[in-house]
Formats: sequence, C-alpha cells, structure tokens
Amino acid sequence: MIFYLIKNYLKMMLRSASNILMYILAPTVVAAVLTSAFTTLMDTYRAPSSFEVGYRLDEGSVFENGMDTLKDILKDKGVTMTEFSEGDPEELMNRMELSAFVEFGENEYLLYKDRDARIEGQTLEYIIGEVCDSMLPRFSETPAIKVETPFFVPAVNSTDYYGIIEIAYFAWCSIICGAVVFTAEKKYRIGRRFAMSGVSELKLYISRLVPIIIAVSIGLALSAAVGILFFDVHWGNAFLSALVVLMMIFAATSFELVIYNATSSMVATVVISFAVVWFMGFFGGSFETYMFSSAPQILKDLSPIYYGNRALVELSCMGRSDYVSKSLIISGAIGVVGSAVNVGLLKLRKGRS
Amino acid sequence: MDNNEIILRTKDLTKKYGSHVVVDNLGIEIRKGEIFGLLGPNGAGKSTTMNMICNIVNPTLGSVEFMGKDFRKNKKELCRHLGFIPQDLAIHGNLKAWENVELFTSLYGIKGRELRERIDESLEYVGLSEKRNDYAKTFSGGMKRRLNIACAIGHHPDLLIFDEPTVGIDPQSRNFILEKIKQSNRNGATVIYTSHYMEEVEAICDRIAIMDNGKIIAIGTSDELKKLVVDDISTVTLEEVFLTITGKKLRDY
Amino acid sequence: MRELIKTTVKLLFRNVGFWLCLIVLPILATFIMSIKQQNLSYYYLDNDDMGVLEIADYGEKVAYYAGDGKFVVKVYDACGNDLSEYFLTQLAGAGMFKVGRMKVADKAEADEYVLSDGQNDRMGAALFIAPDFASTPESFGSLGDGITAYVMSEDERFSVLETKIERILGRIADKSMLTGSTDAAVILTALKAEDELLPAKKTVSVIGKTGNGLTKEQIDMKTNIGYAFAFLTLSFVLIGNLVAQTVIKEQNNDVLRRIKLTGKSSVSYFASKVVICVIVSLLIAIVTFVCTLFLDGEKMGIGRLTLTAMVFLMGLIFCCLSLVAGTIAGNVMSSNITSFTIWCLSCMLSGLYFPLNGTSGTVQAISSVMPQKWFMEGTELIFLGDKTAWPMLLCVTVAYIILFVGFGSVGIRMRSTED
Repeated sequence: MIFYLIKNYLKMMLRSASNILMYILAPTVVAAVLTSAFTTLMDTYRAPSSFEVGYRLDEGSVFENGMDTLKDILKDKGVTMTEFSEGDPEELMNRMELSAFVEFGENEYLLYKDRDARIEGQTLEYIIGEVCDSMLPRFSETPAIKVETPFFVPAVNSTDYYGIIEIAYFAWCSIICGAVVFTAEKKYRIGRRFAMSGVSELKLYISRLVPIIIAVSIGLALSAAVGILFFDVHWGNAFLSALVVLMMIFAATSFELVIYNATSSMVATVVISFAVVWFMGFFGGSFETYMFSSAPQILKDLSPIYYGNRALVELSCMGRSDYVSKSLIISGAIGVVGSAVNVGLLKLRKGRS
Repeated sequence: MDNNEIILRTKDLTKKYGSHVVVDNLGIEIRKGEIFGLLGPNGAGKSTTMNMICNIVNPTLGSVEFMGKDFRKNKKELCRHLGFIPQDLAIHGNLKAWENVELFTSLYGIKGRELRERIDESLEYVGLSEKRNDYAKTFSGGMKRRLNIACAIGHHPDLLIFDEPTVGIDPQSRNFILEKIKQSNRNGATVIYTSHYMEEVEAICDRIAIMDNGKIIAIGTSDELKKLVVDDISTVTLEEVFLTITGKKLRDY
Repeated sequence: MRELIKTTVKLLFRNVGFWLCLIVLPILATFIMSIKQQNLSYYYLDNDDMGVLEIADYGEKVAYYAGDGKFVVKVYDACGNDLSEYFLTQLAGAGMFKVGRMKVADKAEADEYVLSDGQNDRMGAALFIAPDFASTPESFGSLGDGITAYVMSEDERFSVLETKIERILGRIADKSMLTGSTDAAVILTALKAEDELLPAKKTVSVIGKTGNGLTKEQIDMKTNIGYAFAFLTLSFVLIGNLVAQTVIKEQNNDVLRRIKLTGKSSVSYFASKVVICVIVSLLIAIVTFVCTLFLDGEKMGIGRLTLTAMVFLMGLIFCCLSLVAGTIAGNVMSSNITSFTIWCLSCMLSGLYFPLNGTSGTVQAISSVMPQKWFMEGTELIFLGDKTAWPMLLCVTVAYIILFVGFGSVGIRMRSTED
C-alpha cells in the first residue's frame, strides 16, 4: 500500500518543472552570486603581482640619497615607482591607475593608499618601513622566537563554502517539493479517499515524507554534481556529507509538514517555513559565513542549519568534523519529534471531523 | 449474506455541529443487492449521512453497522468492502489514468499482479482503457467522472455509494454511468445513489428515501412514494411527489 | 473604478496577513535600524591610528579584523609591561598586521584558547607573551624565549611576521646592550629616541574608483538601512501578492466577467489594482514613519521624512511588481512562490546584505536591475549630501512602474485571450 503511495507521490513531484528548477538551479545561482560577493574576503592571501606606485621627492628629503636603492628594492618585489613632480596625488592615482602614491618629505613620508588596492598599499607601507628600519645599526644577534603549530581548520574559499552551504540551505526548503501535490490534494478533497480506505495516519505521513526526501535529494544531488563538475566545488567525505544533507532534508520535511498539518494551508506553510528557514540560515552562515558573522554565538547555536553548515564545510576542508555527529543528532531529533507531532496532528484532525 | 439481508444499518445516527443538528437520529436499512436512492433538498443532511457511513466523518451519536459488524470497531476490515464516488472529482490531474486507479486501489492493500489486473479491469469497465496513459487533467468532464468511478471500484467493494455522479456531464456520459451502475448491481454490488435528477433515481433505484432536516420523512419504492400523495400514480411524477413532501420553500443553508 | 477600489480595500482589510505585513514588518524593519551593528563592511576605513585593538573577552572574534586584508595576529598577553606594549605597537604600526590583544594569566590558558581559536575563529597567527618577557635581567639575554608564535593559517605572510618580530626584539636587545641596562624605562627611552630619528610616517586612505567616501558610522547606518529595506521589501511584496490574489480569485470565480459585463475595460480594472498598490504603499510608509518616531534621529543617519519618502517609492515599485507577477502566475500557490523568489533574489542581488563592489561584472550588471540597489545608491548620495539623489530615485521609480504596469497589461491581455 505505502509503496504505491510513495511511488505516485514521487512521480507527481518529479513531473513538476518548478521542483526541478528550484532544487537544481536555485542553489547553483545563489552560490554563484555569494561566491562572487565574498571572493575577496575569503580567498587566501596571494602576494600582489607587479603594481605601479607614484612618488614625489621633496628637495632636501632624507630619502634623496637612498631613492635609487629604494626603487631597486621595490623593483625586486614587483613594485614599479614612477615620479610625478606635479599634480594632486589622489587625482593622479585615479587617472594613472596607481596603486599608491608616496610623498617623501624632509624627514617624513606621506603614503596615499587606495582602498581598492589594499594589499598593494599594505605591502608598500611595510617595505618602506623595513627599508627605513634597516638604516638603523644592528649590534646583537637577532633573537629567534619559538613557533608552534597547533591544530587549525584550514581556510575555505568562497567557491567551496557557498557551493556546499547553499545545497544545505535549499535542503531546508523541502516543502516546496510537495506544495503543488498537497495543494491539489486539498483542492480535490482526496483526503476523503484516504479516510475511507482506513489507511493509518503513520502510513499516510510516511507516504508524504519519503517521496519529498527522495525528490529533494535527487534535485540537490544534481545541483551538487553541477557544482563539482563546473565550479570545482570540493565536498570532502562524500558519504558523511550526503548523510548530513539527507538528515537535514528529513528534519526540514518533518518540521514543515508539522506546519502544514497544523495550519491546513500550504500558503501559510510556505510563508512560515521560508521565514523560519531564512532566519536559521542567516544566523547559521548561509549568507554571510559563520566565521565572519557578527551574530551572537547563542543565536548560531540555536540554528540547526549552523551545525550542518559547519559539519559540511569542515568535512570539505579537513575531511572530518566534530559537528557531524551534532548535526546528525539535531536533525534526527527534529525529524523524529516532528514525525510524532505530525502523526498526532493527523489523528487529531480525523478525530475532530 | 442473502438478498434480503441487511448490508447496512444505521442506528440513531446523529451529527451535530455545535447546536446545529445536521442529521437527526437517522435509522435506515439497506438490503443487500438493492439500489437505494437517497433524495433530499440542499442541506437535508444527505452528504453528511454518507460521509458518516463512509467513515470520513465521525457521528456525534449513534452507530453504523455494516455487514453485521460495528463499522467503527471493525473499520480496517470493513473499509475494503465500501466504495465511494464523491460528487466533486477526487483524482490527481498530474497522474495518468492508470496511475490514479493504481494509487487509490492500492490503499486497500492490493498489490503486484492482482493490482495490475484490477487497474486494467477498472479502466475497461469505465471505457477508459485507450486513455490509460493520458494525464487526468487532459480529460473532458465526462471522462473525469468515469475515472472518478474507476478509482472507487478497483478493490471490488460490496457497497457502492454514488454522490451525484452525473452532475455537469453530457447525456451520453450520463447514460453510460447509469448503465454501469446497473451492471455493478447485477454483478452483486449494493448501491446507494443520490441525485437531484429525479428521472435517474426513478429509473434505477429499487427503493427511495426522502430526507429533510436530517430525518427520513418518506421511504419506499417509487410507486409507494407516489401513493403517499395521490391515488392514481400515473398522474404524478417523482419530482412532484418530492416537492409535495418536502415543500416548495427555498432552503437557505 | 471607485467601487472596485473600495471593494478590494475591504477584502484586503479583512485579511489577517495584510495587517501583519502592514504593521509587524515595518516594526521589525525599524527595530533592525535601531540595532548597533558591528560592521562587517569590507571597505573598512583604514585607520592606521588604531594601533593595538583590545579584546575584552574570548567571545570576541578576530575573524572580523580580516576585512581590510591585513594579516590578523591575536596576542595573548601575560606580561603587559611597557616593553611588551612597545613591541605590540611597533608590530601594529608596520602596515601589514592587524593586532588584537587579550590579557591572559599564563601559557596554559593561552594554549587552551589557541586550541579553540583553531576551530572557532580565523586569524593569521597567534602570539603569547610570557609574564617575564623583558622584565628580568636574564630575560634580555634570550628575548625570543618570551614570545611564542602559533601558526594559525596557511598564509605565507607568517614568515614576514616572524621576521618583523625578530627585528623588533633585536632592537630591544640592542638598546639593552647599548645602555647597559635592563630597566624597561631606560630601554624604552632609548628606543623612542631612535624612533625619532626615523622618518615619520603618515598614511591617507584614498577612495578608489569604486569607493564611496562614506565614514565608518555612515557605513554602519547604511548597513542597517539595507536590512530595514529587506524587511520592508518583504512587506511590499506580500501585500502586492495579496492584491494579486484578489485578481486571481476574481478571475477564477468569474467575478471578473461580471465586472466586464458592466462595460469596464481590462485597463480600468487593472488600473484600480495599481491604485490599491499606491494606497498600500502610502499606508506602509506612514506606519514606518510612526515607528521611526521611537528611534534616535541622529543614529538613523537619514531624516525621517526622507526615509518615509524612499519607503513610499520603493513600495510603489514592489507592490506593482508583485501584483503583476502574481497575476501572471495565475494561481495562489504560484503567486506566493513568485513573491518569495522576487524578495529573496532581489535583496541578495541588490547588495542589501553585503556589498557587491567586489563581485564579477555579470553579478554587478544583474544587480543594476534590482530596484533596491538604486535606493541604496540614493541612501549613499543622501549621506554625502548629493542633491541628485531625489531626481534619480524618482526617475527610477517611474521607469520601473511603467515597465511593470506595461508587462502586467500585456500579461493580462494574453491571459484573457487564452481564456
């Protein structure tokens, strides 16, 4: 009995174009946008390739004698220095596309740094500082410091982060998969046929839960495949990652079916689910990374998505994560409790009619 | 069960919504193998009665006895002997014809080869074999009604309940459905039939009950009902009898 | 038309969802504006006078410091004497490092924190300064023993940090040797005298081609306004959807046919719905204005009437958009999904949650199509006192409305033809 219910629900869900679009395209598009937005922040440091810097040397400046040496040192580091004896430095920077400008005064220097070329400006500032420092005499041996290498989670780049996180986020929007089917069922009062047949509330619930999980899993698996093949997203441990995502789908479906069975309105379910999932995702790192998010830790801890996100990201960059078990337990608990509540709500509704 | 045996009996069947009594101490007996017509104006309580019989709605008071057993206590066992064809179409537009029949027939525990045979049989019965692979949403109104029937008969129920099955369809489809009802009856099914088309009811029903304000106010064969109103039954139609018994006042429920 | 408008307004007023969108969402939007943001703008104003940042407790993450690309160094300082202070100031002033310091008791405590940092924070390196760093005569013989560096990333600049630290320690050791003293005050005086000999450094942050000239406070306020716009957009989109649902229901239950039989054209019917959008936008703007009366005007960064006017214009755009999209979608479920999709995508792609200046050309091009982006640009111009803000916003609003209403009319005509 339940096999045929699941089979036919699954057919209806997979025949809906909106489901395909939602679960394959949406994570890809959203991930692409967010990847692009956070590339600069999340990319690991790359030494700037050659860049051009303007300078002006005042007469009588302490740098006068050492200017050629300074230029040579900077040239070795890929920095080309060009003299501009006239013109406003900021204007020159914009017009000549200079990464920075230095005005060497009598016994000082004024460094103009472009906010859009921060790394270049920092590099220049550091090098000039070191050159100045090197003018000081040295007497004693340079003391060596102790260096330790504790365990740390390697940095993850934005492509991997968002390529993975958005799959997890859309796993939490699983009710959309069943929305059209359940709406049609309600419209045509197909529930009467179920009531007449004596099918148990548990079987009815499972027959809705399982096809949603399967359909969403297929869609997200295809989206993940697109990410891996075309955008070089790295998932790490495939089995554990798949398990984490699957449990998230289970938890989400169960939770959202509770809302549906409580409200009997798919519109209300979609609105409430989207709102809740958006907030959970916001605090859980689905938009701004959980590492950089300024949200209080307690709000992150309250978001089930946070655990899943961390587990998946750490699996990607380390191959293991302490958050896998937490994520599985939390998702499992939501799923199980949600399932019990769903069956109860279905019984209650039948008893009241 | 023999043909005079009672297949369905309601005892003091009552349904209240708040203080509003929709069905009031209803007691009817349906004999095995008959086609029983249930008539009544809008708001008389016909649909509620049938919903209670079909286990879709719980009665406030009273009981339904089906095949000699209390329905509520033996729900699971007795459900599979009942088939309900609702007035509004209860089919999935995004499933093909055969998939709809498969879905709703499988609910009664039928599976595998037997299920496939029942699907073919049901679609053949309602004349939709050639359209088995078409989506239900592409069907005309008459075809949808026939599919609606096919979804309810796959499990070979002993009692079929038709709730206004011929609303809004052409005369050919209507005639087809009525013929099929008679054929089901000849094959051993008991039928409860409701409609506002008096000529249909008169044509196919063995006995007719008229319901109003939640109660049965008249019951008998078509001729017996006519006799309640006039002596010469040839001078009156069932519709005139109905209006005489229930009155001509509009029911604003 | 008046009767149509009146009827639709009645239907809306009888809908609980309408009141939630009209009252609750603007309240949430205003609440968001009152929250003090710890700004994560990645165009952080480069203030070289920041020196060493003090970390009050472990809960404060240094990952946030990475916004300007500097190598983040978290220092666990168990010393706190003048020389360790000098050491850290020199490090912070080198131009390549962002230094945050937290006081600890000993190395064991630091090690525990570092272990947690590796999993819960993000930085280039951590340092531990021992309690006896540059404080005893013996310690000057091996200054390096007083500093432990922890590698916390794969950033190649760790070697630069190591070099810089050793150079600073070398200078301290030199001064100790030259002055023949291990007294911190004496050594510090000598170091500062040497610093006076070096050329003085000043830095200026220049707005690049993509920059905007906003101060840090303005960037914070702009962030808040962005989030507030996100909530308000949701309100407009949902209400527009409710108006669309009246159209859908009137089409489905043939009420529209009755209306047309009276001689009313599709155009006037649709126009009546657009007028509803205007009314609703005005109502939301008024509610927003009332809510802002509870806020400190200075902290908003933008005048109340200015904000209200912007909310009204944005409301016109999004209500119309949602009305059109929902009507074309044709059924309640699809129109809801369409509304949410419009909201999610437009907010994300318009830079309400995070700036898009660093994104690819394609994303920036798509972003230009999003109405909220122009309102954020308008906000920036208003902050900068640029008088071109209002003409721009008005033109943008009119353009979008013409576009959406035009599409809507075509869509409805096509639908009528199909029917």
